[in-house]
Amino acid sequence: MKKRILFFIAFSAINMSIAQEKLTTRTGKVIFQSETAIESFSAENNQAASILLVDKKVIAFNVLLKSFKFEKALMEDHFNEKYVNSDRYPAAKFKGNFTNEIDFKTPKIYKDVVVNGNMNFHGVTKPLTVIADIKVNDDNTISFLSNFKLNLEEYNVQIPSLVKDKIAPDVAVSIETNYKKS
Amino acid sequence: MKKKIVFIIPSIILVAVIYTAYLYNKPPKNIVDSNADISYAANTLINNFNTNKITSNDLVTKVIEVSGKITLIEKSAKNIIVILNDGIKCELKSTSEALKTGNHITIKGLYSGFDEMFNEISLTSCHLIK
Repeated sequence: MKKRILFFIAFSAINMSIAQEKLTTRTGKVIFQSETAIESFSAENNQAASILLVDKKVIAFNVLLKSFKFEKALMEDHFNEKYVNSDRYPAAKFKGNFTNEIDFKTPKIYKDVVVNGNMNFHGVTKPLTVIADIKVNDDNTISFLSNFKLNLEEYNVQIPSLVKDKIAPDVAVSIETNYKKS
Repeated sequence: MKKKIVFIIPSIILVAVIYTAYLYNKPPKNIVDSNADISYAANTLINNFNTNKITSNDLVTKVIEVSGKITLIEKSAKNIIVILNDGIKCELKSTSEALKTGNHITIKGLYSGFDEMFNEISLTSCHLIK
C-alpha cells in the first residue's frame, strides 16, 4: 500500500512538471497578405493550433489552410484548389527552437527572439528562421508575435502568368498567439 | 438583321460581365443559412474517422452537423473554440454564447481538415443550433 502511495505521488509529480511546461492554444491568429501595385488581398485564420514547450524552448504550429477566411468566396476557392491544393496538403506546419533564456514566470517582453526551425507547406519542407517577440503577461499567459515573408515559389506554389501581377511573390505572414497552460 | 445582331451581342456581353462580377464578389458560404449536408453524433464521427470509415474526402466542403458534449472551451477576442467529445474542434465566430463544459450541444460548420497537433477534426464558421 505504502509503495502504491509513493508511486502515486511520484507519478503525479512527474505529471505536474510535464503539464507545467506545455503551453497550448487553439485560437492562434495567422494573417497573410499579398500586396502588389494592382491588387492587395489578405486572409485570416483564427484557429491555428500551437504548442510552446517552455523548458525545451520549442514552439510548433499547425495551421489548417482551409480555415483561412477571405473576403470573397472565389478567392477562397482559388486559394484552396489552385494555389495551395489544400485537399492534398491540408496544413502548414512550423516547428522551431529558440535559445534565449526566458523567465516564463515574470511579466516581461522579450524582443527579437530568433526562432530557427522548419516550415512544411505545400508538400515542401524548408528551413525557416523567424524573428519574434515573446511577451510574458501578468496573468501568466504568454504571447508570441511574429512577422515574416514566405516566398511562394520556394514552396512550389505555382502562380499562372495571367495573374502574376496580382499576387505578390513573397506573401507577408503575421502570427499572433496567446498561450495558456493546458 | 444587322440591327438584331448589333443588339444581341452587346446584351450577351453585358450579361456575361454582370455574371462574372457576381461570381467575383460573392461572399464566402454562409453557414447559418445553409442546411447541413450530413449530421453525426460526435462519437460516431470521431470513431468512424479514426477507423477510416469516414475520410477527409467524404467531408470536404460539406456543412456538417454534430451533436456532442463540450469537453473544452477556449476563448479569444475574436472567436470561441469548442471541443466536442475530446475530438472535434468547432470554431464559433460570436463570442457571446453562454457555453459551459459538460453541456450537450448541436452545432453545424464547414469541415476544414484534421488537426494533427491535437488530433481533432476541425470545423470552421460554426453555428450553434441548440
